[in-house]
Amino acid sequence: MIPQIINGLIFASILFLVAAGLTIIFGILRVVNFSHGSFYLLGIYIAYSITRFSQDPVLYLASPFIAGALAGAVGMAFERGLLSRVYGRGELFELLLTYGMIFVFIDVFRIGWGTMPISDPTITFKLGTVSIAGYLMPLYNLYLITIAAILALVLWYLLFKTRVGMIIRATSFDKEVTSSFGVNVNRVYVLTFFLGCFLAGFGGGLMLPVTGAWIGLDIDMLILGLVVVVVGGLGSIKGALVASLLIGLVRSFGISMFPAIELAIVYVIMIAVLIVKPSGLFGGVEH
Amino acid sequence: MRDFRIVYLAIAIILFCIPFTGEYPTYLTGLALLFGISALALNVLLGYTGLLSFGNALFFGAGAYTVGLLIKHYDIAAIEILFPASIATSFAVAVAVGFICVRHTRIYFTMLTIALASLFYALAHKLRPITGGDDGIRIYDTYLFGREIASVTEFYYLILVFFFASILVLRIILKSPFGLTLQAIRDSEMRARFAGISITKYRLGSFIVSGVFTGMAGALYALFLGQISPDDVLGLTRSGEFVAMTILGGFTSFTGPVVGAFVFTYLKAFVSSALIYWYMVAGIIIIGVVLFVPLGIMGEIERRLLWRR
Repeated sequence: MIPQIINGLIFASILFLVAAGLTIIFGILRVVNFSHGSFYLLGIYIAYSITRFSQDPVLYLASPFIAGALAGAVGMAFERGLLSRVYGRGELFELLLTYGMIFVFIDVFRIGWGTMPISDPTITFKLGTVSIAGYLMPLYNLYLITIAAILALVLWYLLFKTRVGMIIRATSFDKEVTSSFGVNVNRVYVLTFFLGCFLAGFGGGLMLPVTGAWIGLDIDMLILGLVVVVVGGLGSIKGALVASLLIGLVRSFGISMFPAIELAIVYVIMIAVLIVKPSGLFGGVEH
Repeated sequence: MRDFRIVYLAIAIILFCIPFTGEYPTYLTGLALLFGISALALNVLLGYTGLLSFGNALFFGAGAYTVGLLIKHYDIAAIEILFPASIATSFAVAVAVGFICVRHTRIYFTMLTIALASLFYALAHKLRPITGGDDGIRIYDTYLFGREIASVTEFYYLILVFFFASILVLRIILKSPFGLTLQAIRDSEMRARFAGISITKYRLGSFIVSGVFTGMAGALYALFLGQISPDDVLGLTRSGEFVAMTILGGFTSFTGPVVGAFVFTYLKAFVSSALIYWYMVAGIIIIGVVLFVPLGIMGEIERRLLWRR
């Protein structure tokens, strides 16, 4: 039981980071960022490059933060340079723009990091293992879950307890009214995109020692992120948290019990939730 | 109107003559025709109903896998059986999936189509004993009314027949009261509802039309290529290609998706043979179309023609 729970929590942590970014961006910009999985993958690749410089554990532990910041910066550039040009032209074009980015990213990855999968579990060995209820666990896995939980708390604090968060929530609630109160909505957009892409890149950086990266992971992660967001309710961070825990644990137990259909179970849960509650578990956004 | 008829006739003659130019152009044009059917079918949803499906590979795969599985497990090699079976499967899948999807619109609809297509992708991928998993299924030795169909040219003409039939039938469907109702719902859902139209029923109808024609294209694809795999026929990139083709050609025009499918297929073939960075080019094309030619090739041409008058 314990290993499945720990693995499920790892998976849930990453799903939450990815899905929270997707859902925040949707909440503010009303755009589903199809290139979100690519930002996740970018995070892994950047963390990989950073940790080539030295084998210092501190650098390893710092790399997700740098990867997240860089992915966020790329996201900001994308939002300002391309996405902002199609605002108001309908979601079809916004979606397609982020979809087109997936392919640009694929070749950027191939040029920058080659076509072979990369991985680097060094930090897992350096941190060693701990024993939980008789099971040996890499300490890094516990670190990953803890740091993701802390980030979830920070995110909650940022959005619900600070002035910036209040402005972000106000923008998601009513753009026009917020802007009439003197808020520069464009800056909120950029900030949101940074935040969303930071979370994706950060999640990617954390996963370098666990899964590594390969081209194709971007789309896998996008789809899982979308499933979590649909189950949790589009635009709801609480929903993303609950849904990622649900999907993470189900998948982890599914892998150990029904390996042939573990992914299918995830989709079946999604369909079941949608039939019972079409707007998702915590869906507040009208559609 | 008369000058357009001449253009259509000329295109039909050119398409008929393609096999005389060699095997490779025939193969490419055959693909373009199949994808043309798929893109037209996608546009029933996108252009005429206002629903963006990013999961139409689901039907494409349903059609293709029906052919593959029947050949693999039941040794059914008769195209006259494989074909109706594919259509029946994609119809059934469209009804089941549509039942879940059409209650939603806009982005929710799009995300659901992705997720449901992914479910089938995951199944095809993981149920190795049945589907062959990653390796997919090989399709060979198929017969049409007792005659073996093997050459690219024979398949090409088979596809061509279905291509013209699809265009004709879709044209009739979209011009019918059913098609006009779809457009009315697209333009104003509320007005259509006030007029007493059952919106969900019409959307489901549109979904089924789209699914059946895409499934048919998938079945043709399986026969034509002789090899299918989950990534090739069920993946998100396959669904995305249908969308990209439709947008490139123009979703506001009936013929746009076909033009998009042709341009996209030829471009992909030429670029990938010259350059290893096809993905980058595809991404830039999609972004470029969105930014600079949002109406697509045919939409832009039609707009300019109207302007001149």
